[in-house]
Amino acid sequence: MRAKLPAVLFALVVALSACGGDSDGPTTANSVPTPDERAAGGSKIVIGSFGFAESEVLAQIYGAALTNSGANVTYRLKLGSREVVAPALEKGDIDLVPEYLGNYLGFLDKAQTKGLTEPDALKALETAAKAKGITVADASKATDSDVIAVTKDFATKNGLKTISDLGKLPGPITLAGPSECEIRQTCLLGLRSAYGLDITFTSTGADAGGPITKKALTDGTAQIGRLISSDPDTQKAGKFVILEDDRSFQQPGNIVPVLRTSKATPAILEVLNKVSKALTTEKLADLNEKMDKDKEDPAAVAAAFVSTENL
Amino acid sequence: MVLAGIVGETVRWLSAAERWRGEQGIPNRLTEHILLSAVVLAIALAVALPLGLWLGHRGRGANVVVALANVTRAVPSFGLIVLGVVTFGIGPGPVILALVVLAVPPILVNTSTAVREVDADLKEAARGQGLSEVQLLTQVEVPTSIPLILAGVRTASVLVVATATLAAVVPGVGGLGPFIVDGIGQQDRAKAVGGAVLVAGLAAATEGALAIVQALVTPVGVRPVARRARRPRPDGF
Amino acid sequence: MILAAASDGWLWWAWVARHVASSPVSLSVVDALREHASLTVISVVLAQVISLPLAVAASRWRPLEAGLLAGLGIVYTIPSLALFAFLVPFTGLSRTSALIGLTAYNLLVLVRNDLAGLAAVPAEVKEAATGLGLSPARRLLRVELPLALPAIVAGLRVATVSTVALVPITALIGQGGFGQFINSGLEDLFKTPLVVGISCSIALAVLADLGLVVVERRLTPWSRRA
Repeated sequence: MRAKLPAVLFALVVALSACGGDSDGPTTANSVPTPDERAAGGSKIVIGSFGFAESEVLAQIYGAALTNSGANVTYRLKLGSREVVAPALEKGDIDLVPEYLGNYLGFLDKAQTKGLTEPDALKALETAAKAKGITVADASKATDSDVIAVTKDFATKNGLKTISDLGKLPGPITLAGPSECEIRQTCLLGLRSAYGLDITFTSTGADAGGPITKKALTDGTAQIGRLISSDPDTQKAGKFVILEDDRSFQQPGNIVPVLRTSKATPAILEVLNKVSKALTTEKLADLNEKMDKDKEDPAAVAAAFVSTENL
Repeated sequence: MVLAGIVGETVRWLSAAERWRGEQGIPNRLTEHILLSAVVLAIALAVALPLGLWLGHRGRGANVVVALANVTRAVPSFGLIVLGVVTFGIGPGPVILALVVLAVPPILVNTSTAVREVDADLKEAARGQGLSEVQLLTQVEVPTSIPLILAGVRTASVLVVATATLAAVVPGVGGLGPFIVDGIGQQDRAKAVGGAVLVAGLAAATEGALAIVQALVTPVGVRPVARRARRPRPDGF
Repeated sequence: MILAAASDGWLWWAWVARHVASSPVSLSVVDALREHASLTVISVVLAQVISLPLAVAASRWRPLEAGLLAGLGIVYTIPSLALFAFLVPFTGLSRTSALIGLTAYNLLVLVRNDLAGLAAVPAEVKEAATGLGLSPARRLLRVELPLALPAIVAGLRVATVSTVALVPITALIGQGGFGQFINSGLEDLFKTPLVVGISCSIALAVLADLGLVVVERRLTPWSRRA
C-alpha cells in the first residue's frame, strides 16, 4: 500500500537517529581494543582535557605517547574548566588529565594563597592529591600560568609594569576572564584581596585567555585580561604585555600530568615523564601558535609533535 | 530530595544580600537586560511596522512575507549572535543587530497580514464614504488590525528577552544571561538556576504585560476579533 | 573572495574537507549531522506521542483545553537557555537534558495544531460515522485523525524546523550538533566553522521540512484530488 513507504522511511530515520551521538561530553570515542601488548600493557586509560586548545593538544600528546607504548587510550576532551574536570577525575569518569601545578594546588587546597617555589608546590600538591586517590607524575619544565595582561598601548600610556601599578589608575578597572575567573583566588578574588584593586569583572564565558578575551582588550571592552603565559601573543614581545605578579598571588604553572592512583603503573608513569621532559615553554608556545594562527587541529599538532620528538 | 535541595540553594542565592548590590547584582543586570531588549524592540518596530503597514495596505508581497516567516524559523539564533560578533566585533552593537534581525519577522508578518486581511467590504465602504487612502489606513485598517499586530509584537518581545540571554557568550553585554552561563561554567547550580528563574520571570512578565496592553488597546468594536485571534492558530505565529 | 584558501576567509575549503569525516577528537560534519538529526527526531517524535493523546482528551473536555494550553504556554515562554539550566542540576550536562528541553518546547505547537485539526472535522462527518455504527475509538482512528492530518503535519513541520534551529543552543550544555561548529566559530573567532554550522543547520531544517511535505502528500491522497 502507498502509505507503507513513508512509514518505513520514517521508522528507518527514527532508528538511525536513535543510535546517533553520544551522551555526555562533546567528543567521546568508541574504544577499539588494541591487540598491541607492549610496555604499557594494553591498559585502558581515559584522558580528559580542559576547554581550551592547549589542554586538548597536551592531552593528545600524552595520549599518543601512551598509545605508542601499547596503552588503550580514549579521550573525553573539552569537558570544561577545572570545576568540571577535577570532580570527573576523582569520580573516575576520566583517568588522566594534563594539569597545571599551581592552579590545581590552589583548587585542592584553598588555604594555599601565597605563591610557592616549584619544588614546594609540587610537594604540597602530591600530599593534597594523594588524599583524593590521585598520583602526581613529574612536573615538566614547560609552564603556562594565568597572567594578567594589557595591550601594549595601554601599558605604555599608563606606565604599567606590575599588577600593583594598576593601583595608579582611577576608578574601577574592568577585567575580562572566563566564567571560573570570578570565583578563583588566582584570578578575580586574588586581585581584590592580594592587591586591593577595584575590579569589575566581565565574563568571556568559556574563553580562557583566547581570541575573545584578546579582542575584548583590543576593542576596549576591558582594560585587563586573564591570558595565558604560553600564548605567542604574550610570549614573543607582541600585542600584549604581561603585568608582573609582584605580590606573588599566582603559583608556578608547570605542566604536570595527574592520574588516578589505580592507573599509575610504573610503565605509564615512565611514558608520562618522558613526554613531560620533552616539553618546554617555547615548544608549547609554538604549538599554540599553530593552532591559533594557522587554525590547525589539536589532533594534527599533537601527532606532529609526538613524531618529531619520537615519543 | 534533590529537588528540595536545589530549591533551597537557589532561594538562598537569590536572597543573599550581595546579590542585590553593585554591578554584578540583580538590579543592575535586570536593568541591562531590559534596556537591551527595549533598544532592540524599538529598532525592530521602527523597521517592521511601517514596512508591514505599507505592504499590507498595498496588498503586496504576501508570498515573500510568508516565505520570510518560514525561513527565519529555520535560522539558529545562537548562530546569528555569533555571526554578529565574528563580523562586527565584541560589544552590544553586534548583539543588538542580531537580535533586531530576529525580532523583525514576527512583527512584519503579523502587521502586513493583519492589514491585508481587513475585510474588503469594509474597505470599500470606507472608500465609498470618501476616506482618503491615508485615512483608510489610520481610521479603518490599523484599528481593525491592532490585535494581530500586538500579537506579533508580543511574540517578538518575548523572543528578544529570551534570546538576549544568549548574549552572555559575548563579554561586555551584560544582562541576566551571564548568571546562567557563569553558573554552568563555575559548577554553581544555585547561580545557574537562580539566573534561569530571573530570566524566565522576566519573559513571563513581558508576555503578561503585553497581554494586558493588548486587551486595553483593542478598540471596543474590534473585541470579537481579538477573541478569534486567541484561538489556536495552525501555524507558528 | 568567499571561497578563500586562507584561514580567515568565510569558507576555507581545506579546513572543511578536513572536518567532514567522523572523528573522536575533532569536529566532524558527519558526527554533528548524526547528533543534530537524532536530537531533533527523537524530541519531535516524543513530543508528538505525548501531544496527540492530550489533544484528543482536550478536544473532548473543554476545561482541559484551557488549562493545557495555558500550562504549555508557560513552558514555551521560558527562554531555552533557562529551561536547560533548570534541567542540568537533575540530569546533568547530558543528552537527556537536551532531549527533555527540546521535547518540552515542541509540546505547545503540537498540541495547538492537533487541537485545531480535530476541531476542524465537520460535525456532520462525525455524526455520519457514529450513524454508521463506528465506536468512538474507531471513529477517532478511521475518520477524525485522518481528516486532522494536514493540521497535525503542519504542526510537525513547525516543530521540526524550530527544533533544528534550537539544537545549537544545547552546545552550551555539552551537546549541540552543528552548534558545536558555531561554538567553535565563537571560541576561536573563526569564520569557517561558523558558516558551516549555520548553513548546515538551515539546510537540515529545509530538508526536514520538505521531507515532511512529501510524507503529508503520501498520507493524504484524497486532498490532492481536483
